[in-house]
Amino acid sequence: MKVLKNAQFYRILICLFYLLFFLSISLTGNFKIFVKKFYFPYIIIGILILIFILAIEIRKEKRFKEVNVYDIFSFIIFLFPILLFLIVKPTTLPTYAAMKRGIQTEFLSEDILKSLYEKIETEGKYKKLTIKQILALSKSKPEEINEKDIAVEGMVYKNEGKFTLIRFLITCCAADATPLGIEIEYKEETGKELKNEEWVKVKGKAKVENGKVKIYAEGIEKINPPKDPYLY
Amino acid sequence: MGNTLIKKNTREERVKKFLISIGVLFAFIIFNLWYSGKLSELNKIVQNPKLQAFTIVLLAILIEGFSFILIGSLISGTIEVLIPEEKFKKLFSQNRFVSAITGSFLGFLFPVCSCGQIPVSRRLIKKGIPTSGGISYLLATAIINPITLFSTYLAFSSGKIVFGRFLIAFICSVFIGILISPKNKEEILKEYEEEIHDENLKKFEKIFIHSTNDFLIMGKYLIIGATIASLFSTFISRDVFISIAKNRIFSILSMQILSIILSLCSYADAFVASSFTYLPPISKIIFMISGPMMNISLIIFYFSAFKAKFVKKLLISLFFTILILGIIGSFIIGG
Repeated sequence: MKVLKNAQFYRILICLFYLLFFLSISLTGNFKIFVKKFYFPYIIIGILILIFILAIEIRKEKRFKEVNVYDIFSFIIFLFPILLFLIVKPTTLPTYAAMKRGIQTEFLSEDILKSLYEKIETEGKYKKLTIKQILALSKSKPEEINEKDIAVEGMVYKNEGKFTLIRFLITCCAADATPLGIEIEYKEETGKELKNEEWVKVKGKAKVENGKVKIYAEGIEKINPPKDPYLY
Repeated sequence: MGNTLIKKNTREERVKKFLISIGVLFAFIIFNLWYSGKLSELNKIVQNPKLQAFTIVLLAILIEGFSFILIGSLISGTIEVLIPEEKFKKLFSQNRFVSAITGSFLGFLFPVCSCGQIPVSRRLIKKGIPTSGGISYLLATAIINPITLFSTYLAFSSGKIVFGRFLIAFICSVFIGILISPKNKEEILKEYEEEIHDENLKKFEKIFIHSTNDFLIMGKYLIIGATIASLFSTFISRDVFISIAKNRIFSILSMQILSIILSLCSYADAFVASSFTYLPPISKIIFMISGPMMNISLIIFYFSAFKAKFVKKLLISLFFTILILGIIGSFIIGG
């Protein structure tokens, strides 16, 4: 077991683990749980550098340097996030994070207003909009949304009998994710089964008062979490 | 010599004991779960929203951070191997003041952020640019670069905020660069154990060996810093900071502390700052100055590249300079 006593062995393992981690989140598209698509090229550059680093470290493998306690300590630190990733199997930021960060129920974005009416899908009489679009419209063009039939997707967050539909808005990564929320008015029998963190599609009528929007739900159906859980 | 050896041995012993205690604790937790029959419920435990939020934020910071460390360490390795020291010294003025100003604009030349600036600035100082220039580059580059300034504009749609952020970052980095820079670079730079002396290596191999060293030495500090930042981000409510931001000084101070705790990337912090609608503009600017210069993951990260004494001096002077600039700014632009 001479190899276990060589510090170089642990350096190679660290590079290998991180290379595999970066490769796995890129190939599966899971990087979107953590960072915006914008970062994808940087991840690829990181992977290329790691491949070179690993190749050079493997070539140095024959050099023997006795492993000491600091090397093991470093190895454990490097291993910690990878293990966490494998054990926790993260999916999307939970509504718990929304509560800690403070849910934004008002939002204004100029860029989406321009492109908003170019392509909107409909589902029966309902216009399919995102929470970001609804909040931006209710602030700047309330007449476009008031009393209209809308279908919107998001996560359930129930607190003291109040139901808020939540979606996180990301600029760079999950650390900066801002929770956007819309209050949903629902009939007790429609929403009784709903639990926090569940993904649902709410169909109903939007009402805007003083720039604040509320949706009066006519139907709530459970859906699978979308491949891309965040809004950008 | 004997003394140092004894010190080293006791430190090694302490680390060994620490590792063993962690192992025992871990084994105890697993045993306890098994004994109480809850081991099969482990799946439920890992689905806990707090653990999910912590893991996602931690990995997000690390994915961003590691990509930039790798890119930064490649730039740093290239500087080390390809640019001779003499040439480098000629490129930069040896005057402390001029060098500090040049350093603060180097972000346009080496636009790395989110940790990438640390290996680069360490290398710049090592290569012989005056320490004031290296320090001002270290502090300014995450803010004074085209991407950050543009994203600030996008977030606020206000040229005034962008200019305010640029100006305060510039003044702060140049001032700190001049204030705390020693003449001798050895007073700042931490010595790394492994340097390359093998002359048979090809140039590109040397570059990548330097990159590996930067990655392996600095990476662990990034992980520790990001872990602390993610813990804060998961368990501390942002409302606490906003509720204490009642008057001029408190609002600046609380935003300064919030930015230190949150450890956001400088490309993104403007969008978070713009969501604090009820705060005066100067507090938002201070949030966007303080975060990229001294957030928790960076603070821990500084210790990987620079000597502890220097880092302490840097952090104390930085904290008070930002606070004072914030108070002066609030008198000038109101708030």
